[in-house]
Amino acid sequence: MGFGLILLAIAVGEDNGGTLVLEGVIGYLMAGFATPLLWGWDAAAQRRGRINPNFASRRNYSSILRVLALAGILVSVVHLLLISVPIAERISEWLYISGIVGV
Amino acid sequence: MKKALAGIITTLFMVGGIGFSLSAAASPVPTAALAGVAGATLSPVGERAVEDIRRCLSSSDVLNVFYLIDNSGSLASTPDGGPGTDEDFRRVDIINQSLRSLAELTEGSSAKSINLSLGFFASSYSPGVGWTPLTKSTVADLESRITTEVTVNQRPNGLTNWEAGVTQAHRAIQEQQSASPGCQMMVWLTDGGINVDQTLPAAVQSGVNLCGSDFFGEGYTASAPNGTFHALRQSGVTVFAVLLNVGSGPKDWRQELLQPLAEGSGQIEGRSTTCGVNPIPEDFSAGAYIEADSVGSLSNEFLKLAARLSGGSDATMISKDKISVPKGVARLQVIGVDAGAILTSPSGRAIMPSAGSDGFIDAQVLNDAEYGTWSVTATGWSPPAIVWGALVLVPERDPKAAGGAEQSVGFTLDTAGSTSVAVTDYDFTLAVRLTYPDGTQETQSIPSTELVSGANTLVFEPNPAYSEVQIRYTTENLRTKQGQVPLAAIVAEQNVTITPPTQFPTVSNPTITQALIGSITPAQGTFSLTAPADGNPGEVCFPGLSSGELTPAPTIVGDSADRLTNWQWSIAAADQASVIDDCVQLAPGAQTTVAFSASHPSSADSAVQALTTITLGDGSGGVLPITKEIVFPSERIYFPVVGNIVRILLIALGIILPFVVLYLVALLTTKGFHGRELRRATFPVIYNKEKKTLAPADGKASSMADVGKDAFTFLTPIDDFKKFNDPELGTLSAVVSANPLRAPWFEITPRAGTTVFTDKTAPPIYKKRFEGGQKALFSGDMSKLWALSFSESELAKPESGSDDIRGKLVVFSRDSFGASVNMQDTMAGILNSLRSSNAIAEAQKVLHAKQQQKDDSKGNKPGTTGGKPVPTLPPLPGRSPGPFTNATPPAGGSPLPPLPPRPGSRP
Repeated sequence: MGFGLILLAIAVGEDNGGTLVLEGVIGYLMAGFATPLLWGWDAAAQRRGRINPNFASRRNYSSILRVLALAGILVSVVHLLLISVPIAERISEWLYISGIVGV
Repeated sequence: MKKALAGIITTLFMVGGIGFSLSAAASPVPTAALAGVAGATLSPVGERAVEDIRRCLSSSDVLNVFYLIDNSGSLASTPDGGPGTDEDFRRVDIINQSLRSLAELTEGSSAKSINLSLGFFASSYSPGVGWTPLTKSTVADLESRITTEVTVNQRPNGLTNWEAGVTQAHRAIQEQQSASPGCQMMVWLTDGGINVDQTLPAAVQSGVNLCGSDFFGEGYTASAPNGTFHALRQSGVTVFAVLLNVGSGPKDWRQELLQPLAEGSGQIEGRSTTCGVNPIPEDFSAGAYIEADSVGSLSNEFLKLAARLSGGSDATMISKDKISVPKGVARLQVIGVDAGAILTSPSGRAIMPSAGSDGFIDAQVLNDAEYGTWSVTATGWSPPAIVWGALVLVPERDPKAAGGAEQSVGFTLDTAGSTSVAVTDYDFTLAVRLTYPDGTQETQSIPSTELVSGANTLVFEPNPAYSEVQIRYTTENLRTKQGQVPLAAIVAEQNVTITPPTQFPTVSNPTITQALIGSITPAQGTFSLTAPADGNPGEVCFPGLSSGELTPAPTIVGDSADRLTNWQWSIAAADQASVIDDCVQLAPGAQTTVAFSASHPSSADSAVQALTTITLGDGSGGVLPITKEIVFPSERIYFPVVGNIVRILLIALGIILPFVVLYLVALLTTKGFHGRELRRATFPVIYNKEKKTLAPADGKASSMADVGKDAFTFLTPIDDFKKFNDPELGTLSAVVSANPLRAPWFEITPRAGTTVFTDKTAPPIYKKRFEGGQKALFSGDMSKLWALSFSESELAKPESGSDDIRGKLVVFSRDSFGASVNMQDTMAGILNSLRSSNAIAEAQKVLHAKQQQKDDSKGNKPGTTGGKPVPTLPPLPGRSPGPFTNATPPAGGSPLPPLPPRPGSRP
């Protein structure tokens, strides 16, 4: 699931159009936010599961999720860079219009 | 070199200047302007750039020129301390000389208004001279200001940030274009390749931003679609990019990029590269790339080039030194001759190079006697010569034509006052192309035999659906009738305003009052509405006027950033206007205005061209839909410093945030499990560190397997806990590391003065935290927990003392349905764990070491505590006192009770 989210995030993040910020945020949330969350969720579930004597721990799942979460955070940097451009434009415009900074 | 550069820049202006008269005979190029030019042949795109300027000037009285001058440190010196490319500020003379030539164009019958500005770039952009009208009277002051700027105020320093310079220059031209529309030209002078911050990625990214395409295919994305230069072309700015590649050897990609930027295509590292939309659309302005690498070698080539671009064409050579000059040729030039060369006319007039005109002879054909064969006497001269015709085509200025019926507009055709040449001396076909705002075209072809000297008319039926049509005249296959010598084509342009029939109201072309700045400040403009000329009432309907939103939105037909959708348009009639539904009612003779605005969420440097449909009503049921063109500049406001700060903050926050979430998830979900039916028992025990065994300390049981099952008592049921206080062990807690990559754990923190041990061994990373029994790990499930607790003083007994340590064993158990605790198995497990663990022995060592350290710092001998003897336990029953034991009971306390006999030992 995490892997799929990363792929989807990469695809969504490729758009460089007017909805860049929205898509960048979605991409970031999916790649850089959701995968760590899933990793944390799995870790918590496995901790709780140990209470049950019939629970079989799947440590390889946690390992895969950890790798995916770290990869997702790296991918999310791309989205953050894309988001930063329109945000910086808005701030620049505000600085320009308010007269704080001239061109 | 100075002359060479002066020639390049000056020639550029003179090329443009030729467009005023479209005839070298009528407006000869000052010879000084062409002196000493070094350069290279223009590409076809470069030639088109010159033609674009010439054509534009044929229909406009204004020329806005921006000089963008390289001011990088390499002008002063090389990185290794060598001489720079212009350490003597020769560029001051170059610029000033070109100003003087340019000022010539502001006088005469076809005088133009020239506005000039100048800026510098190095690591960043720096304004030099603001927009100033250039005339002969202001040129001296301008020269002085430029000299001060270059030599005093803005000394060369820094890198070569093309993007910073070009972006700001474009912005400056756009602002000037809003204030004073006209032809636009940028002369961009640089002495080196792009270099933003001395790193390759930054240079490539900046190059991609300018170019619009990822020319290396390394995944770079331009900051604006199609790049900065596409925006320049789209907004009608002709860029002349001059590379001063003086003695620097072969070019690398940083310099090669200049050509595709200026011309839209070129070679980078042997690969074909395009920048922006290619080929350059017809309604865009092309650019030209010029490279100067030496003073002399390219001089002649560039002179020929400049002459050809200024309206000259290759002459028909009879032999190497004989030139055919039939009737119709008004001027000729031989280039690349020595100072003693002579050009002789058929009438015997001998002409030599004039003073200051290095390497060429320029001659006018004065009378009929000079038609025939001209001869050249020179050494090292290479034909062909260059010849000019005298034909001039001047379209009528600002004509108007009513739409929907056959109309005519005028243009004059003459030979600019020449008495020896007539229009009839030329053969050509006049190609006329009419272009409406939406790109639709109509063409006409008029043979020269149907044209007369003087006023001519072009008859056509303007499409009433548009308010303007652009007419372009081009002479095709222009030749002298006598001798059939080919001449350069003449191109001229006129914009015709189409007025509706008199029963309909008129709508002016929009007046733009505010450019689109970023995505916050919308572009604003107004339409002026005038009642029908026939004196009747009328109405003008704008789609969506009643709602305040222009719907359907105007169609975007031109935007270098390709922002075709997502525009927000608003529209409002003036307060006093009478509006019914979407229509402004116009009483006879009335005038009013309608304001509109446009904004877009994406910002870009561009000139936006949109078409909107407006319906005119004649007041008696007749309607006429017309298309109006709205053109406004769009500016992108972006400060790189802000971009860098936002980038750093976003990445930092973006990475920290998931880790914070991970931490919170762990904090919320990590709890020790207590549950119901949990039982607890405490047993006084003696741990033998030598044998790693446990023995009951109360003497009631012979072995640990026999300790009382009845000692277990049920605990108050709770589900789980973050912290749990045990009266013997201390605090049991769930711990989440600040590092979310580390798994949470459960630990027991013993009460002060005690130590605790469980079956879990701490990993090495937490060794410090758990050493000496100051904390102990457990699994988090209390039903599986047992722990040994010793007092620190008991554990810190001297190593030479007894092997037995008194403490307490706390055991938790959960056996369903009230079954008794299986003590045998439980104790077997505990003993097994103890046997395989060295935790207690290691903790003892740590305590001993600490004790030793403490003693050393107080200057005491080992084995004593604060100068007092270390209390020791009495010997176990059946054992003799050790050699270092002391029978004295511990200070401040009662003697420890005697230990019970150990199971299996003799009393």
